[in-house]
Amino acid sequence: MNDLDLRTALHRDADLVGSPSPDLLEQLTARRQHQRRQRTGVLTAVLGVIVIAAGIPLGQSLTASSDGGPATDPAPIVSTEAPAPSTEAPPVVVEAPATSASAAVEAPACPDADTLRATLPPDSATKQYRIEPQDGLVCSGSWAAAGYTETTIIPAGTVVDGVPTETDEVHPDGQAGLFHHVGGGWTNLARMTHCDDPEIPADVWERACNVD
Amino acid sequence: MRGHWGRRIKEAAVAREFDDDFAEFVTRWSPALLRVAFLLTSDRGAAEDLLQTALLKTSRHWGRLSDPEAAYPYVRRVLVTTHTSWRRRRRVHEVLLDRFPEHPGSEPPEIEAGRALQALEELPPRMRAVVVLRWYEGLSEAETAEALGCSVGSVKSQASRGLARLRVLLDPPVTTVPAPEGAR
Repeated sequence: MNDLDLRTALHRDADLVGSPSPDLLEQLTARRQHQRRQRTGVLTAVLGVIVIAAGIPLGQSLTASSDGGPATDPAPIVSTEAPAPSTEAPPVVVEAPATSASAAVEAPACPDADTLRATLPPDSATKQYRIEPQDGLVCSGSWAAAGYTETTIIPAGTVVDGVPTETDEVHPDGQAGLFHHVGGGWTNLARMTHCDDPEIPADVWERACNVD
Repeated sequence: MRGHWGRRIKEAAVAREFDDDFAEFVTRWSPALLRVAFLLTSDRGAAEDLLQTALLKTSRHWGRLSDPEAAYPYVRRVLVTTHTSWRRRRRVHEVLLDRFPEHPGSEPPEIEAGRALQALEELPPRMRAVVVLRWYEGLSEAETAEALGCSVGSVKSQASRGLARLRVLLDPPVTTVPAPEGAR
């Protein structure tokens, strides 16, 4: 088998795959939209739980203030948890701007790339991190999102697929980062566990969470 | 066919999910990328999944790729590195089987259709990627090293071992003609 034989065989076998699906673009679009729907569904569920959780004490306090004798009926109010939230929901929504307004007062300045880089692990012999502001650094209130490159370095001599590497190998991988300003400083959050947080502004969520 | 794809581009643009340039790129280059993905995976479904994953990853960084000419090598690199990382994760569950005997018996001298693909499955992912990039995509050693993010020396050694392994798997046996009886 010479080089030409191998080339010919590879080209012939590669052609066995045929053409891409004519719906490839639609499939890509659907895959993106599916991810978005999944996350929106989770967000909606989390919001619903919060509204219900907030609605119960509000319902209790409203009942108590309109009623003369609050001491006699705490138990019945607790037992009506299911219907109460749907009717009490509008007053709870009023509370939301109050909390976001207080957050806006404390909103920090939009972080720069160096600030966000400081939230990532320090560079080591095998890992390096670099914020990529040209990919779009988005910030809103105490939240920010930015792309960054996580580079894995395989030192020379490491055995890969049975062959020791002769020199250092560099493998950059694009990542999306979610950042939050808490306790006077920025911190990098794990997207898997924090992207369901309903407080994340839509544009930040779109950049940090609605991606692969 | 072209009109059909053009309609697809418009539909995708209407959906506002992707840039028009990106949709154009997908339309133009996905057949070639799918073939590379197929050589890396040996399975049409897996190849399509790999291609879609690579394209979605690329779409995130599309703004950085101002030169459309540079996009194909970029996506090809994402394709290869994504496949390598998939294989790395799944490797512990795999048992590689030697499906090809060392002496496969009476084989025709040319490589049968599909056998190169099967032989590629016997190679570790990095070695397989080197073979595909060098002998299918026609990249130089330096270009292959750049695509894989490794040294030229590593490409040389992987290519050499990969080729040797493929020869064992694909070459017909050396048939020794038995000496006629009584000959000496």
